[in-house]
Amino acid sequence: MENACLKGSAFFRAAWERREGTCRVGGREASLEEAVTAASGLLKGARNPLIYGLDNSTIEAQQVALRLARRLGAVVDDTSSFCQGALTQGIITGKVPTCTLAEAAQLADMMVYWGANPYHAHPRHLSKYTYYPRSQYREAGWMPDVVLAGVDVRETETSITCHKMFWLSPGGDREFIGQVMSALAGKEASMQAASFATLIEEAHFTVFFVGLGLVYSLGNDLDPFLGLLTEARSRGKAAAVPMVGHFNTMGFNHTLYGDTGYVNRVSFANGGGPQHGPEFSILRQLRGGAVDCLLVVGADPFTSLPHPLVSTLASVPIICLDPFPTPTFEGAQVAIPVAPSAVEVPGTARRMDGEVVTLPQAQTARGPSDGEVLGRLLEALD
Amino acid sequence: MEFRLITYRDVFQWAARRQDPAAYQEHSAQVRLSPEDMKSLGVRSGDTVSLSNTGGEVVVLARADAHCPAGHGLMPLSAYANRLSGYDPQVSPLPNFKNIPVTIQPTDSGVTPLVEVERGVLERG
Repeated sequence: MENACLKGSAFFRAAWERREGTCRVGGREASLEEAVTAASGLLKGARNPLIYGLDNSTIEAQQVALRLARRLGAVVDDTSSFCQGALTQGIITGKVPTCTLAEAAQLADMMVYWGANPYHAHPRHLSKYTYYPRSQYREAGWMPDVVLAGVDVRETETSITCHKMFWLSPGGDREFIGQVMSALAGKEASMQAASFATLIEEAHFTVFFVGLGLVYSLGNDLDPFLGLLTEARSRGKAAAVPMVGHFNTMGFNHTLYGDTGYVNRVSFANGGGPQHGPEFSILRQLRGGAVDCLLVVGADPFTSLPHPLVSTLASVPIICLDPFPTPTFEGAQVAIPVAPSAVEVPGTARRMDGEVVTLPQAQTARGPSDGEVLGRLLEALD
Repeated sequence: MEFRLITYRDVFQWAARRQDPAAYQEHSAQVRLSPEDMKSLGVRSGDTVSLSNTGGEVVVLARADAHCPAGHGLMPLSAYANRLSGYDPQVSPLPNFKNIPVTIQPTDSGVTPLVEVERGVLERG
């Protein structure tokens, strides 16, 4: 394996070395046919099924999942509903200016990692797009013509790399933004905020790479940040790019938006048009005990959701499609191993900047893809 | 002592999760504290500490981190941290992964094994 980052090499290695799993129904080994029959039976009997995950599936599989959701009258949601969904919705609807990673690398003269640590979350981000690449008009990286800045509450490998760092107290982002806005308005502000404002004023093209540190500090209310983005745009070009965590979260958001006009938290219940709202997030659905069958595709809510929410699943039948034996897969009533996307399953995906990328098949599939299983579930409902 | 946990991503933990449970546990079952807070707790790097709140309890290793804000603990996002995280839509539309209230105390107990944390999840409660 060449040129893969630590995450990439670990993923490909895990995919190559994974054992070809067997389906399980109620803890017992089963054939694929038996598992599909059991899963479709659970879905048919459910009054309020929820389909969750899909951020590690190809766009093609996501499209099948949405057909299944419509057919079932299910709620469908993904991790973006408690990660970058608010920013992504703004970007996809054209309300928030964005740019491609190539544009950032070639044209931006100020880039800001805000509440993000790509060294750990997106290991090639620095080398491909922000720190090392040479821009079209100026030299990047260690050359001072391009400013790489960071805003964070702790020192990280990324903060050490940044030319300018702005340190905040945990939860202090809203206040800092307010101070920067004051400085941009020519009013009194802290020295740190004034320094940040000066960078924005001097930049021709500022790109904010938004991490979960900022999203969570603002409690998902991005208005203060969007106000700052607007101010930056009034002085030059500015854009925001969400540092989404899974390889095809943006694909899911675009696919669902193209189908319903919303990027996540959608219900197809009651046979009418799609409904959308916070009440259809997996968080609210689980907390309210609304879900009576959970179909998980390529996600592990047992270890990624707060424990009190997982506890609500005690009596809820779970169907899990995953290439790997996660705790959710192990605890599912119906567990169906599927071939890993981007290794054994070709297709397309969208990067964090919304660009479509083709995923070639790296090796022959050992087992069905998640899209194929979802298609079989769809057929079994007819 | 009362602390607030801030979770973060760790690439080495991520890389270990599929193939090396021991390494995954090592990278997950730790909390980084300021040297001043370590001193107040009476613990040194490598000592075990108990992290508890109404959600549950885990025992992890304490690590000194000169860059950790006082009164806070830095912890990789994993089943360990999620044992302590919560969600209350009346407080925030997001789960609490970045400001988790916990009590941290020194303990003689060993690190909570990953299988025990995951077993708790599998038992769904």
